[in-house]
Amino acid sequence: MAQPTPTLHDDLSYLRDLAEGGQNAPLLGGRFYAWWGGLATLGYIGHFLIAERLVAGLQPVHINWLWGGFMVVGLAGFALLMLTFPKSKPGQSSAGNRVSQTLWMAGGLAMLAFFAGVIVRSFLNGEASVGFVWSVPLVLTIYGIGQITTGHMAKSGALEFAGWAALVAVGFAALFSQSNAIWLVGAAAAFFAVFVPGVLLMLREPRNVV
Amino acid sequence: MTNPFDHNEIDDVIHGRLRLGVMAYLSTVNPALFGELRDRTGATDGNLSVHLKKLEEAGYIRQEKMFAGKKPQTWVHLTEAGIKAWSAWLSRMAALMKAAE
Repeated sequence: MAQPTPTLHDDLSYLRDLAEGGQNAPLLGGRFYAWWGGLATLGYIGHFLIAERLVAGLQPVHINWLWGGFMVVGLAGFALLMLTFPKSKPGQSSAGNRVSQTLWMAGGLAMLAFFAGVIVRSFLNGEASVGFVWSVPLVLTIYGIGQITTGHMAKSGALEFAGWAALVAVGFAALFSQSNAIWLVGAAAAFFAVFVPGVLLMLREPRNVV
Repeated sequence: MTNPFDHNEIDDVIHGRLRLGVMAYLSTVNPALFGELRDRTGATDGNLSVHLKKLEEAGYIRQEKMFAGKKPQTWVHLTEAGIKAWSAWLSRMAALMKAAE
């Protein structure tokens, strides 16, 4: 039987599907979110435990080593993820993915520069720098702006919500800035605003490569 | 005065179902992998190659051959001329539909 000739309406629906398919392409940065979000969660919990002297044998001076280790392990894992990231995932040039890549590269560099400075200052002083306290509102602000923007571009309400939650957490970080509870605020925000969305994005990521 | 029903005003290079599909997808994902375009449009490798060649000859797309490790890859880029042609085609269709209402 002959195939029916597509109508103009069929053609336009086909074009709309293709264009929207590209526009709504899933974000591919889930593994990076999960890695850094998970590591930051552990880092802030570790900071809280050491600052509260809840780990036998560890003094506040060891906080420098905790964050020094965080940088080394974080960058090594990040390099490994970059090397093993499939180069042929569909949708990787979508607007959402390009914005996500650029924004997190810039945001990540800001956090890296900040932490590097604070860690070096801490080793020079022989004690944890006050810069660690500032790190919490700084990273939460970057998380918030990053998630809201990428969520908006990729039409992901969950990601946008995570971003707004991170921005609200900035207020709590300021509120608890003179107590060790600030590290728990940082841990909770890193977990819920970065790690969890990262895992969700990984689950939604297309399995196939082309 | 422009005749909204004049078929000569429609860009023949774009106005084919598969080529339209390629242009529509590239308008939101640029560049795209050859395999990505094939899967999205449901075309065969051979058919897609033929149509990409036509779009490339018109200067609307550019194909770039690369390697991902040992695997060859073809990236298809929508060019500035392609963006303008796509925009003009959409305007043409909008005018045609408005005139037909």
